[in-house]
Amino acid sequence: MKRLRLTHLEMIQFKNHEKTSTDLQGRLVCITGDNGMGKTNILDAIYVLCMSKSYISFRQADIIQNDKDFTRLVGSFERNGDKDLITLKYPRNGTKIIEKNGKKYTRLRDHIGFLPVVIITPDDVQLLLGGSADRRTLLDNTLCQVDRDYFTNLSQYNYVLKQRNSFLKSDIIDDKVLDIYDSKLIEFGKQIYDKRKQFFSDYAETVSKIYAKISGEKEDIEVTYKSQLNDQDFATLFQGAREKDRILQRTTTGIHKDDMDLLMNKHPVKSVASQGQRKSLLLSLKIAQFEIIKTQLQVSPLILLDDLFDKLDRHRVAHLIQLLTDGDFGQIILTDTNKTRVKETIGAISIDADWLEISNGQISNYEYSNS
Amino acid sequence: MQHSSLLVQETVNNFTELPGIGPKSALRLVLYLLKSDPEYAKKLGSSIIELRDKIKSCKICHNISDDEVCSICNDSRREEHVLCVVENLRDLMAIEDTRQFRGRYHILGGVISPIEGVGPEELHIDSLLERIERNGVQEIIMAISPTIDGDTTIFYISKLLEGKEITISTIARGVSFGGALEYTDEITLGRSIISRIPYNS
Repeated sequence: MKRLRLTHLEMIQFKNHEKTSTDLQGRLVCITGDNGMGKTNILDAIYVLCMSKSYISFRQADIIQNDKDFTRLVGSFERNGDKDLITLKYPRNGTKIIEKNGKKYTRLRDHIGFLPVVIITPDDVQLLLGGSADRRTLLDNTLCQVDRDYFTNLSQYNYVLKQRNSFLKSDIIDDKVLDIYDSKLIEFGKQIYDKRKQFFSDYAETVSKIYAKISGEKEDIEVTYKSQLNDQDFATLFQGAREKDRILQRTTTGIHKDDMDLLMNKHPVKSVASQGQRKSLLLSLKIAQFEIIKTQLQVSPLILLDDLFDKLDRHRVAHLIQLLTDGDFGQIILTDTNKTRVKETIGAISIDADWLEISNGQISNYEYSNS
Repeated sequence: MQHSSLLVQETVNNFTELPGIGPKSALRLVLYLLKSDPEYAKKLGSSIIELRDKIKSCKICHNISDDEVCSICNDSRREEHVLCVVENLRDLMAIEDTRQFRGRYHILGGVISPIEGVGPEELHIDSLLERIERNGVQEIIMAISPTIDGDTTIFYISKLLEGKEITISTIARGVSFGGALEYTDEITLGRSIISRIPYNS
């Protein structure tokens, strides 16, 4: 098992960071500072270096500081002695470039999965309360990191979907063209469906195991893959929906409608779970993601924990850190507003921690004194 | 850039509309024209005017042509029963340059891409079908870029030809000549393995 670690980070004109750089020595990095100082942006910068896309900003260009022409990120990563320098350049009027050790990737997708990462943020509550898109993102996000074919199939599926939807909006709709788009969607979609299905057989079990550990309670958690393809084959599905598609001018069936069903004691989590249970489940979904990526890639992903205490009580945070550090973990980078609180909570865990304080876009390293 | 002569200014502006020409190159060209024999400028100007006025699109294959029918379609030595279907003029020229093809062409004028506003009716597909019907074409070679949209177009045309006595082939896709296997991307290499060809020495 390899352990991935970030040892140095440099951000230029990235969101509110005009020019910030810092070393990260430990395997547990605690970044503290007041609200609005840019803690979350540091985690997002790391995420961008790993996944080539922002987790926080919907519009990718928003990662470039206002009024600036470009952003540049540099990260030094280390795994079992191997060092890699990753550079991301993103001009406002151009496309993103990622370089590994000075060599440019011809396709960004070749980079995905090289630096596995799992991020937990306060917004993740949308996984439980929001629409299916959020849950599909979690699914795709995990599978894309562990399976390159999945990524390729998914982008091809999405491309054909876009073409089909535009075609449905045109004046003349030729059934033959729809037939072709359908067959392409089936070709790519079938592979995505199979991989998602396979993924759930592991994932469901991992989630309920971890939930039991975190909550120490006896609720029965069930995570299932919800797809129109579970009951009908693709071709029948498209045939049946064609009239509807023509009227609504978009593709109403397919794997882009898939969802994840979350049940607690056979009832939808949304309606029966208490606040505490929701939090535990949320963490279980993410830690299970961490476990699966770890097992499949044989690399322990970076863990980014944003504003943890915002949603969790100390007890749960301590438990979470314990759970993550128990196994094979590479590095955890977490943020919070209150350093005393962090110190007290994780004090019991015997890992050397790095303490970084952020103020007005400047990061300073400090030794935490126990007095 | 501001020039002392409005005439120079205007010509420079016109040149910069050409692809690959920036203001500096444009100025260089304009100054060259001023320095060179006035006859040259006249010749250049009139050839451009003549080009735009007289150029035609071949009514058979949609290639550019001086006459109603282009020189390729008019060449009786070229095989009439084999058609190479291409996206655009540049692809036709690229295949012509190989000197490996002695049949005739058909230019589609693009590939099906609803996002770009191109549906089947925007392409020269009707005239292709008509040609196949009229001339007893036996084989069509789809020399179309191996993209999703290219595939869609090939698939569409092949559906229209279903049930007809005609061979449809696509150009081979695989490892480039003189290329090293280790640098070939995995999709191409994977396809090359699947669609391998019998070896004959």
